[in-house]
Amino acid sequence: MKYSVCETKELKTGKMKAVTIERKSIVVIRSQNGKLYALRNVCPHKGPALSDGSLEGTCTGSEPGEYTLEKMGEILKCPWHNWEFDIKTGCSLFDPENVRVKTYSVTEEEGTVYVQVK
Amino acid sequence: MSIQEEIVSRQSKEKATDIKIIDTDVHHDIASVDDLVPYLSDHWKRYITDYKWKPTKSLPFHQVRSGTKYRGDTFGENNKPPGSDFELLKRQLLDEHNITYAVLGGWFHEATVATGWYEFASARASAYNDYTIEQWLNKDKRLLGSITIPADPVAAVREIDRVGPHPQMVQIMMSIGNFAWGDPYYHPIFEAANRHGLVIGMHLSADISVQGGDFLRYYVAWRAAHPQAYMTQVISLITNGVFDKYPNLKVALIEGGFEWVPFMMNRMDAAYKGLRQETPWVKRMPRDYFHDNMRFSTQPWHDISAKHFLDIIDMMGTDKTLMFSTDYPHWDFDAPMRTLPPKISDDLKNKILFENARELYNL
Repeated sequence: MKYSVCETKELKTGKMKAVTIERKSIVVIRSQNGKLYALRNVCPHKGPALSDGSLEGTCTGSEPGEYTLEKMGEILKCPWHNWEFDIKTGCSLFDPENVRVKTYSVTEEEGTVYVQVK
Repeated sequence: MSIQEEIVSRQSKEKATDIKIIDTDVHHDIASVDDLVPYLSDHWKRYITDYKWKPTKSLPFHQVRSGTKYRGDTFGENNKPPGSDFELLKRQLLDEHNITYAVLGGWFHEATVATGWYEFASARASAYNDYTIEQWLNKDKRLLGSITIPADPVAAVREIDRVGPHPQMVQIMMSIGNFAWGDPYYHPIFEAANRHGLVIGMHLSADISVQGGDFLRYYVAWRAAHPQAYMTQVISLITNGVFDKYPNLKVALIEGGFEWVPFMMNRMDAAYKGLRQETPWVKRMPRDYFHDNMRFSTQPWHDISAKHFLDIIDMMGTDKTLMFSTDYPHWDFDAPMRTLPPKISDDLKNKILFENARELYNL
């Protein structure tokens, strides 16, 4: 079922908004390039709201001392223990196959943002 | 000897004959620095023969009895220092305990942990390696050697290239001192190990203050803290990406204990989940490196029960990382047939006494 969560203009680039749908806490995010994503707003580790964390990039590197900043604005970092999740897939960066948060599909129609639950 | 002791002793001897054993921590030694003289150039020789150079004695401790850190019965004729007499070591360790292979780690860490004057330290390390080859490895095929290196990476690599090809040299000894071997400055040493297919051995030296920049006040305190120094090295190797750069590299952590391994695996895994972006060159969960790249020797054994021992193996997640060691001729020697809990399976005993080390050293 599709639920309206806010007006398009309420959710600006690089911002996120926590909503509750069917008693589920969900975070809706507008990335740097304007795309919308929605994820379960609970860190699978110890449970805080991911919306209290930060939207960031992450680093890769192959040699000691080498830092390449990547995926700016596409990583949701938990406010407690810094676990990193890719907003596009919900997958954690340290163990993408086994540790992830649920994602939901988001649409934008006539000035309103909708999240599909179930 | 009581009847019971006699029975146990006879059983031990019978058992010993059909069990294969690799001893991964044996200390052969020079009787004095004069033993190095034949292997030094004319230039460096003078420092010993004419100028009477002696290694720095950095440990303030003396043990609680005569013989101090050595087993009381390991002194040779005329009080020859323990580990310096090939025939005695052969009889007392290899023959008496039916050792299939013994990995000599030496006792010449001073050349590795020396700070400064690396030219002479390099010369001493080379002389010690030549002494090991000529006076030990060439005399018995059961003996395997470790390459003593100076801490200067360029000189260390030169020495590894020089003696590494000897068929009985199986590892490079990176003595544990007050520096962290994972630092990229030392990576050429790992590169050389990788190139020669040599294992890295790490063993404590007399130069570990562990934490706080000072020795603990008592030998018993300092000894209890040894595992901390090994933890520091393991953390340094992982966080500096040594095993990502050289995935086939194997490190034997000798005489540093093993009960702490599950703790450190869990602690590092938990931290990696949140702090990964600080060391993005570390590609795997830390526990994977413990499994694939590290081995741990068993001496000094802590007299733990079979149940607790098996719980630790279970927590480690593998039975392939432990290797038996005696630490001959040191005072806290573990005898091969009197150390592991009798109630563990023959398969596990064989892995610890023989197979894990056989695989590591490719024997």
